[in-house]
Amino acid sequence: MAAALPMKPGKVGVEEAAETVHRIRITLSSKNVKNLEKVCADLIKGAKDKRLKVKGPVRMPTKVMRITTRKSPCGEGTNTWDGFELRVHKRVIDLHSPSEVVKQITSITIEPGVEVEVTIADV
Amino acid sequence: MGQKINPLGFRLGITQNHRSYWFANKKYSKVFEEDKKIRDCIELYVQKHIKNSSNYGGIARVEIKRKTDLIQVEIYTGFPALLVESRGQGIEQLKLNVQNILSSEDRRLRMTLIEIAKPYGEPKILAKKIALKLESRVAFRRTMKKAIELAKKGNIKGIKIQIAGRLNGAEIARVEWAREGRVPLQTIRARINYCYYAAQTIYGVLGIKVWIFQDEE
Repeated sequence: MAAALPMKPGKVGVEEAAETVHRIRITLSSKNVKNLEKVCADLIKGAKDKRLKVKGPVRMPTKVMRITTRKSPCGEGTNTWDGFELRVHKRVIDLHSPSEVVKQITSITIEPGVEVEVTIADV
Repeated sequence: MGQKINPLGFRLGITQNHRSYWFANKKYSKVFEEDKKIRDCIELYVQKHIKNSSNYGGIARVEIKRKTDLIQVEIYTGFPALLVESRGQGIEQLKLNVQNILSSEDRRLRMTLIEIAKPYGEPKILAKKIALKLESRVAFRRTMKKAIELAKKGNIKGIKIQIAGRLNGAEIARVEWAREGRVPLQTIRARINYCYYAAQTIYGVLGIKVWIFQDEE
């Protein structure tokens, strides 16, 4: 039953008693799926290396923002339309770990174009 | 007859990268405005300090990447010696200017100068050179031919230049273009670089469009 907790009491240190385990939610958003998946994979690998309990990347539905305009500057001609869209992809990763470790992990993997938001819900 | 889509936008996912690469949700318009201000500031700096009758700056493009609390501005230039001030200061002055413009939150700014190997293989630099010549009233056909010669020195597979407006000061405006090699605009996997630049002459504005076909894939 103690095996369910990620931080085993094996590591006896001076500050060990002060580090409480938080439920940490990392939300990653981006316009680019490849970069996003890469950052996800890096974060999860980093967390697994430190033997934290990780709830894998939950993929939120993609938000598509569509702007549909007439191609023509005047009203003449066949009605041709431009359909521009911007896709926002969102992934959520849950960790159980003290906040310092999380700061370490998130500081390593930052790619341009991916927004990382960390919220801490105290258990 | 149809109209042509901008070849840069056409290839954005595939052979072309975004020039500004960041993500913003609620503050999209503010970040966008900041990007524009940075680019304007760089353009202004080049015009004031570097441009004179024989130079024209030579900046091909400015790429802006943002991470949380770091703004990375990469200036691709064909002639870095012009931008680096003597006395070994580098681009300190430019960096200061840009930093003043940014709403000073705690964000670091990193500005790097990247040199392009064959500057006349970049359409923006070529277009600016043509504009300079046209503004000093050189005959446009000769300018186009010379520009094509310059570009061919790099290894490109095709180039097309189009100039529109009051050519040679004529009363009736027209469009003239010159092409060398092949420029397959319909092929998405062809890496085509494009630029539009307006030359301000005493007769009005001459629009210069340059397409350069670099390689396939």
